[in-house]
Amino acid sequence: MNLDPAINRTETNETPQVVAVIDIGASSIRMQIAELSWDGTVRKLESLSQAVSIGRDSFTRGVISKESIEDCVRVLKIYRQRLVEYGINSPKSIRVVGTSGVREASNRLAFQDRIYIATGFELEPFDEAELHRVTYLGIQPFLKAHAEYFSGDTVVSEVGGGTTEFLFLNREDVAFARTFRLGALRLRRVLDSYDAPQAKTRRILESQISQAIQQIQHLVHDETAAYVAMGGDIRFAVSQLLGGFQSSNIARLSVKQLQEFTEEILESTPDSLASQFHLSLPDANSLGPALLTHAMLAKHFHSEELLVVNVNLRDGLLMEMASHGRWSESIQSQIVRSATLLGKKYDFDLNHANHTAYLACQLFDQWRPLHGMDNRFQMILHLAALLHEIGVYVNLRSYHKHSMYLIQNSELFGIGERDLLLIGLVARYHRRATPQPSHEGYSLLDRESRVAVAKLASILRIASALDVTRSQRIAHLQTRIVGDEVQLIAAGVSDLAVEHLELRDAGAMFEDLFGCRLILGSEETLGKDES
Amino acid sequence: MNRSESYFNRESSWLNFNQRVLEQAFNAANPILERVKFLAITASNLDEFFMVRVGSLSIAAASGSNQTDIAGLTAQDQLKLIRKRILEQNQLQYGCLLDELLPGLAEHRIQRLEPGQLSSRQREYLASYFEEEIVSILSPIAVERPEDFPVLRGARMCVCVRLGNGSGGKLRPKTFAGESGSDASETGSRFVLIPFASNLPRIISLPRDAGYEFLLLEDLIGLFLDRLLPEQKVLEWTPLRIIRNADFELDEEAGDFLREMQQLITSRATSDCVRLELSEYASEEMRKFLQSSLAVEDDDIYLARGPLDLSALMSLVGLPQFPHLREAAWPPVPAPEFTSGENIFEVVSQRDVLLLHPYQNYDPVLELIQNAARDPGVLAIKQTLYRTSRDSKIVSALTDAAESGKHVTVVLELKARFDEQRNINWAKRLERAGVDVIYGVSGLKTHAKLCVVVRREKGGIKRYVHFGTGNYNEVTANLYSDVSFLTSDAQLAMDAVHVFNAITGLSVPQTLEKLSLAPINLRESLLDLIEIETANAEAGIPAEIVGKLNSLVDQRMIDALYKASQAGVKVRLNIRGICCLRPGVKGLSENIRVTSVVDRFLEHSRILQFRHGGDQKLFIGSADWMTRNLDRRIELLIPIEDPACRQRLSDALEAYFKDNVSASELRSDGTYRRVPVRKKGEFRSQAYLYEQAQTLYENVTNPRTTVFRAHRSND
Repeated sequence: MNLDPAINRTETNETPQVVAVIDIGASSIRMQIAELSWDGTVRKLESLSQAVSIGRDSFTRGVISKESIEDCVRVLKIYRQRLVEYGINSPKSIRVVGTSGVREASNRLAFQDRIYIATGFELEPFDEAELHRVTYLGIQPFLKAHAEYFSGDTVVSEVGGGTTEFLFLNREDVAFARTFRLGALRLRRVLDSYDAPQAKTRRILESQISQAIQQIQHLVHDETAAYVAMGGDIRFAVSQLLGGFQSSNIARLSVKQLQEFTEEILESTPDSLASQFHLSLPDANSLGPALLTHAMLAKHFHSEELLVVNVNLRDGLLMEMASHGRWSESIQSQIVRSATLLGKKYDFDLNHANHTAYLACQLFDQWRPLHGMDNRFQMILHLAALLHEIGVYVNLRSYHKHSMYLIQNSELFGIGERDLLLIGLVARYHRRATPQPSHEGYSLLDRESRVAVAKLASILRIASALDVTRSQRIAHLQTRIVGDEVQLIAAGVSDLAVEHLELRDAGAMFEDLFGCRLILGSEETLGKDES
Repeated sequence: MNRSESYFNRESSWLNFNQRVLEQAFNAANPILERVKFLAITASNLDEFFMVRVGSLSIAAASGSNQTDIAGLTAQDQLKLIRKRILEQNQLQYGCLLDELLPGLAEHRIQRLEPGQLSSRQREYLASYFEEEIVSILSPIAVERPEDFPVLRGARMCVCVRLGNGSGGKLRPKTFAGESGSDASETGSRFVLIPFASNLPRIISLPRDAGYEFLLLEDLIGLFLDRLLPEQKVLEWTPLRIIRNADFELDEEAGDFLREMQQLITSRATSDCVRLELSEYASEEMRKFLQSSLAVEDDDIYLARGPLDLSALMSLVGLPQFPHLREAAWPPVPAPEFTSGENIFEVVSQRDVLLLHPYQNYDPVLELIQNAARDPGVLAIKQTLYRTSRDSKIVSALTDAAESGKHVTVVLELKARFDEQRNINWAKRLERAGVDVIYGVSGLKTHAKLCVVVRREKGGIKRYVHFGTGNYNEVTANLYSDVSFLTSDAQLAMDAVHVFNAITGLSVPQTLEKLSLAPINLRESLLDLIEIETANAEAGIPAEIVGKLNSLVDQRMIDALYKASQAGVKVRLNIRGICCLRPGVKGLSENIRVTSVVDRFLEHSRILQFRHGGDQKLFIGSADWMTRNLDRRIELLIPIEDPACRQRLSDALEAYFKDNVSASELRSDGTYRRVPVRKKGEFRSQAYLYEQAQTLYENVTNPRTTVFRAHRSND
């Protein structure tokens, strides 16, 4: 599956890179090994999965048992062996994420540490927002290729082991995203705890699912045009009922057909499903509850058919890796859109925010040789630039601190907790004090992130200073680096007195950090950059 | 219709197969040494039959089991039936040997001599041969009391001597478990057992002026008994041979798997005796003594009117001075795809390759693994091994690969019956070289023949796969007919890797896109394919199933074929050995035809073809249609999609049904009838396939081509 052709590749015709993504889920650990070519194509090589019982522990007792942890270690060691075979060693080639089962455990840090010590795998922080982003990325190509299905409102729902994720789309745009603690494994646990006879299974599940659906009542406004279903269980249903996906990787399944199939499934025990359909026991356990959830949700959203897409979390993660840290234009635009909406909520100066962001990104691009940061940090800077003044809504005094608080406690599509913290910190440091070890949030960061925050904040200060007039008069910038002098050539203006003044303070952090002198000039004073 | 009308008994069917092999021994159109070979094969076949089939039936009968087989027979019924058939078959074997083959060989100057026919020069030679080579190796064991009777090895020849009382001289033998002079038996006879050592030749070549003359070892011993047992009064002696039950279950949960395997091999040495063969000239006293000492029933005794263990005749077949008494050699031909000088990876990247062994040689398969061992781009090799040759080049290549830093994983099936010890030795050797050895899957035998080579190339990771119907054994690859399929198809390769991950416990089985795997979905896939033909026939669409297998025993598969036939599907089956399906029965199987080819190469390949409404499906596989293969083994069914390969495979499959030289047809009464030559003339499938292989090769290497291929310095 290809990405947006808009992705800018610098290397061409290189040997494809072999990478792996590992997804530690509630009932299994799955690994997908794939090749990423220079043009963003993902070619799958091998997939592995093994059953573990993380969800069983954390959904009931909130803690992952020692046994389960060691079981995960065992599986990950096996996977590590396979990676060694392919020569995949660099952490940059491996992404390991944990989903709801891991997230909800109170001992998740201990879990993470144990995994790292035993296997060398670093479990990435991967919260719900990140999941939304990756899910959106995964369905992106379908939105484009089958636009006829997505002309109105769409709800995308993935029923997992511990949670059900919803993305509400308005055409291609994300209206909002939500995750609910409604999952196939959880439902199975409830069933087991009732210890009810097989015949009552359906009734119990229905009542559980209805309760959960109550919570999302208010989210449904108009009739949705499409219901997109994701998840291993619904994909299985497609393979059984429709013989599989065609090469388009999208299938249309009528709700009625799904309901009939679900009836059948719920009449059998997981053991008999496992042997009849050659499923692993965890898969057999989740099948009935998951399908019923989809059927009831689709009905709730007044859909007569489900669009099932043949893409999973690992596919989305691979697509992200294929873009080498730079999110696709469509993702970026969703994120920026989400940030803009957030800013509007706090009545910010939209034009100044946009222009600051615009200038900041220019500076980031042009100063790559100086700062050496990758594309992910550009997005962080962009968002910090958009949102750096929203704290004004609370109070003009120390508004930078309010901005940080608001950013950290708001929802931005596709941006997880870790990155929200960074954005918040960059916004906080765009004026007044520079980072101190005593500052909350900053002190918890690792060295790379602390340095990144400082660098980004220093750039934001400059970008903000350049629009101190709030007239967006500096159309665009060019950089010339001469020795330890960074010459900034502003186009479209001749008199930069106000900006110069502002920069005396605003540029200090940058000069200290990078050990250079910042010189602002116009095309007349510094000359156009010929290079 | 009751079961005996719908199905044939398996053992009976097998005995029919052995009968067909025996018929080749009787076939005067075969050169005489080839006939001797077939006779020897019938004998070793029967040995194995006793070890495994009779052994397991004895246990079932002894336990009082009332279970019946597919045709409704109990274990007892089957043992009775077997006894009757084997007595008949034995008669035929000896008739063939004594009335046709030995006289025929004698005409060609190959002569077996009895002691009375030896010349004095020969006697002198034998006397010193006996003293120098034989005496020190043989260990006669005197049996004075019943408990002195030694544990005899199964399938090993032995001589039993009955001694008279008197002349009190001490016996010469090394082991003497009793006092001299004590009473041995009720009649006053004493017995001495002389087991043959495994390193002694059974057939002893004699000095002669011309031709070839030989003496059997038992006759040599009989001739010089006085030297072995001096001052004893020899009343009679007889050769004998026992077969012990070898059908054991392995306790896979018992901790140390390797040790359990070793124990199993050793316990075969002392299991119950299921057959006692001895000369029909032995006295009743001798027979009674042996019968009670070995705890065999009357029905387990087989009296022979000629030499025992006819499999020993195999050593005559290769006598170098007599090439005119054998069929001309058919040396395996190189495959045309590999003549251009490109390395195997280049060739297989460009196209899939189908090889028909033994007409085409096994080199490409060896090369795949040997090249993989040396090629710097290769990351990993994964392979299954079920039975290999003694000096396996494949195992050497795998150890080389591991030593040069490749990741090598081998699934080495230790439970390969009778090859356990060899496989254990290989396992240790491979592990020492750094190979990751998996001893097989608990409860299942890994019977699939699969090899995957993972290679990093400029364009990315590429995988090369070998699928086969035959074992990774370069020796049997020249004796059995089998199919090899080499491909770099990405989907087949990914499926193959997923199969390995499942077998080696690295992963839960993933969905396979093209392959079918037993015991997961192979049976289902086959039943679906048959079902589709059945449905097509019912809908008036032409439907056909063509299959080549070694055995057809599984009831569900047979029933599916019956249903297909009843719907109008044309079913043609070439089943080499056991077939429990009854063809040509009105209302049951009118549309099913079964033939069998028994010829110079043992038929072993498995090929299936389904018309599939016009979108023909063609497969090769590792599984025969027996319940154990479909439900209790790891097996593969591989689709062949490349058009050129399909054409060739389909053509080869057809050839078996045109055979009228070495083919027999199974009739609805269970007997086989030779397929007769008709107007079109003789067609011998194995000869046709060999000629084909030669033609393909010649077309490529024909010097009279008009395009010259120059060698440049950078080739």
